[in-house]
Amino acid sequence: MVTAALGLCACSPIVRDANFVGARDQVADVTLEGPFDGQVVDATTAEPIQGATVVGVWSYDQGDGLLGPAGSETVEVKTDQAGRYRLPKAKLRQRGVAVRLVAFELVAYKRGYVAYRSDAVMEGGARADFSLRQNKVALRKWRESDSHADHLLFMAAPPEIQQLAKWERDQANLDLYRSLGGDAAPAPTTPAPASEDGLDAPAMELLDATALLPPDEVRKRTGYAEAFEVKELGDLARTHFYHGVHLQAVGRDETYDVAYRVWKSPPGGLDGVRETFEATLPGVAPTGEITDTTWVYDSEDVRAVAFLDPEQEVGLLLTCGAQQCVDIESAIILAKFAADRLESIAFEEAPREATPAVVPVTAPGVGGTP
Amino acid sequence: MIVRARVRRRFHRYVRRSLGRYLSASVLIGTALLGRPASAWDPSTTHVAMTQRAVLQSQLHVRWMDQSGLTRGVFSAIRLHPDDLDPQLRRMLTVALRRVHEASGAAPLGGPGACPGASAPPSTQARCVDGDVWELDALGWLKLGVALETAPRTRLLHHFASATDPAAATWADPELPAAVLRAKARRAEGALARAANRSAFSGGATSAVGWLSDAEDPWAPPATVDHLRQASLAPDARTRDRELALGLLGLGALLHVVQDQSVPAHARGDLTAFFAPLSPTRGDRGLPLQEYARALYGRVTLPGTLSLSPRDTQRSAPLAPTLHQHLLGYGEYQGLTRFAATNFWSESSLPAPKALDTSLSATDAAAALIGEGAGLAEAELDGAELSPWPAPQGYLRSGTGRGLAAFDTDEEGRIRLFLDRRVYRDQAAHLIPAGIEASASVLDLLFPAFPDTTVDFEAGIIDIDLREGLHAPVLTVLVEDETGLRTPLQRIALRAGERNHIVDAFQTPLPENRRLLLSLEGATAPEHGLSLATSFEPVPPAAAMTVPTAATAEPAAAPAESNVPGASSGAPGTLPSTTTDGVGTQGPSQGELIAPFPAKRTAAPKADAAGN
Repeated sequence: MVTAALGLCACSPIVRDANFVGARDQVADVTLEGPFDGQVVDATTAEPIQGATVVGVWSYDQGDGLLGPAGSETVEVKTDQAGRYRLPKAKLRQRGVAVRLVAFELVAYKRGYVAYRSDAVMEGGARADFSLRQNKVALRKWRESDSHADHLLFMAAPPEIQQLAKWERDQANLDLYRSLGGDAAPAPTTPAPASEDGLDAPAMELLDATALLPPDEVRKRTGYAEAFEVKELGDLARTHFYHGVHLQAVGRDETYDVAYRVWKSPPGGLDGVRETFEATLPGVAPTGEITDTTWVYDSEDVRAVAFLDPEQEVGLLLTCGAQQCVDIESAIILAKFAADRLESIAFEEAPREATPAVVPVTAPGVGGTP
Repeated sequence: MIVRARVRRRFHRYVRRSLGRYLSASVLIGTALLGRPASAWDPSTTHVAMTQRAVLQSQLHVRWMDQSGLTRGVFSAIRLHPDDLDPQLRRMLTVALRRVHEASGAAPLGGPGACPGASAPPSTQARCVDGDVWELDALGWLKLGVALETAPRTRLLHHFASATDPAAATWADPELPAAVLRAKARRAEGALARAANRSAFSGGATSAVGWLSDAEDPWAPPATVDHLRQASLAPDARTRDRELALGLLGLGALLHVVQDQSVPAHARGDLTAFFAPLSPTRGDRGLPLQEYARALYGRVTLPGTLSLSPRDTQRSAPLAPTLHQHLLGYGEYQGLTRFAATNFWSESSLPAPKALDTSLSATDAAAALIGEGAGLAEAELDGAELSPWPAPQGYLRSGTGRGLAAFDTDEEGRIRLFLDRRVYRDQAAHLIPAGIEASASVLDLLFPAFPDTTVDFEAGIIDIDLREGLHAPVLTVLVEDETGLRTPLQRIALRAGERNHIVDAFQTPLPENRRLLLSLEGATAPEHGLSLATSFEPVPPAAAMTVPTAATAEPAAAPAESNVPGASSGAPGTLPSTTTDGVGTQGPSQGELIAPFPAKRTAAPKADAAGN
């Protein structure tokens, strides 16, 4: 469980278990200490990327009971001509008693590409493919639709990478401002940062579940005669694996609305979706109503049906207002209809939004103007 | 209290006697998955992720961008000169910087020694900014403040609430010294034990609520609010940057304390829970819930429940007008501390084991086991049942179906409650979003929107709508030159709850290379509100800036004339005239300068200076 519990009085820290594997496709020892090696390549062409910055960070905690961070050790290297990197074993310096080596994170950065973190992917979720040895860092080229705000938030960059990514800050401010609904006047567009080989970046795809349950099909099954407006559920961001669709009853309150959320092949599988369903619908035991794992929830205001389809790697949560679905059976009928049409889930190209130009910071250090 | 004491003794005896089962059943969940203990929520993963999510959920970034003419947001770099800090703050910050995890985005560039000189190899310059200066984006300073709250770790002692009175300024866990600290003191491990040895730690300290008013702690809200005010009002850019950085550090510390109130062990004053063994290694102890959350969710995938209501229910105003009310409740908002304390059990505040008659119904058995309620709200306990029942093990479910605790049967045949993976998962799914919501609201409270304002650059008139917003508002009109030096022109006490029309607010036209800035100070509530300042840079119409009309080319009347930057006899940053009750009285009296909002005028008529 604890790979190297060397004792609190010893000079070396306790080393926690690693959350990655030793090597790809083979059994190998794994430890947070390292050493680490791998190759950085272009995700599209598989060509090695020379000169990418790779930073390894070992993190320590200290204390007994009430615990806190106890610092990091960092190593920075550049990839060679073959795109290879190698990070040495952690020094495991003495840092006092009750110290634990608790994490190792690797961050790779090359301008023109989306950065890489060993513990996360930029699209959301944890990374599951990092390995101690022979790790493959496939960097995706920067797309016009990518957000510098998402990029900086994802990187949570150690200082060495911050230095390289400084240029993204102003654009990130604007990207985040726009995504949060800021209404400043749009500015002229600027080209995205060019990839160094000049190849066009592929467009980003978004999951499209609007065909799963069209308004006409809802009306047919619930007897509702009036119009729906098809919108997006805004609480979770639409991605290549999630789409939330909101059929908003025009001129009516939300008890006439229907909404459904669809996850298709999410990173990390359906376990996270299952946990979300269980937390959202507490106390509801899964049944075999639609698939082998179906949750049915009925309350005064809203009916909800959720199911997982492991074969098609789909999770769906349908909610239906009590005025639209007069009983839980109506909601189950809608969910069954959707379950029979999972093949209609598609992908569409993300709209290429106009990227505002960087607004020059005319007054550096305007402290307090926030 | 006696019951609770008994429970705690049982808890520790239980831990000691049945470590193997305990490890496999519940406590080692996190270690089994990934393995790392944490304090409260883990500062480098869960807290950082909650803080980041709160920033995105709040209006902070949009307000900063709107109020700065799109020049400042959460990714903007803020510099801090070590020489500008007093020794105590510098020492505290240096300690925090040594401890922060660099892969959390909270470690700044630069700092003393980061720029070794031009002859040094380029690789040693990787962190250099400019001399000894630290540089980090605003979000990074906020995250660093979160980490700072653990340096030293004794700071974590003011993250607890009193189990008996959440509003109390102190808390105590009287069983802890007897049960745990004696052993810790013998081994003298860690800051807490050292503190215990030196100060005869009594098992309690200032509570989170008490800390909110702590005027001595440089990272507590009183100092933080002052830094944030100075970040608006200080004369030079370097000072404003310093104050903003310090304010964000304090704000990060505040968010850490607030988020910890979403941990039942914190909200129920249960320090004992933090000493559960996380592995067989001696001294490897922590809070199982935090370990579980860190291991399962990491820094990027926080849990949450989905809204079954499809329509947007986004909060448009802070949950409460004071920090205390964010923890203790305001109107329909229950308060984070009360929510966590009355809806969730912590590890060692569970009801004691009991022998139950198997002929009891599931709900009667649950009621008998819970006894007097063990501090949970009626809404949770009403309809609670053991499921399945009768059975040697299962779950105690609330009336709404939530798993409040797991149960099994002990060696003496009694039904014993404990928290397992499923219960932790349910707790995390409700508590982490609640902590984020409260954090986002605190950010919105401390960075209020600047009221709707119209500035007539040709006439020197400001119309400001105060029908909502700060109490006892005072407006400072400033100009900033090209070096970033701000000079206040006048301070004007405004009328809250109505529109204010201010004439001769500044000289027209503004001298070249001068920018107009407005800073509004006021309290978030009539009583116990935070005294805040928010700034706004109105953008002049391009035409007014470049082609002054005949009407505006004339210098304004005498009061404004003396407001020309540089004309003041006072030092930069001081008001050019004497003040009374903190309000400048330059030129016409305040009664003349302020009037209820009349029809908007487009010129600055001297004759209308009274605003009538």
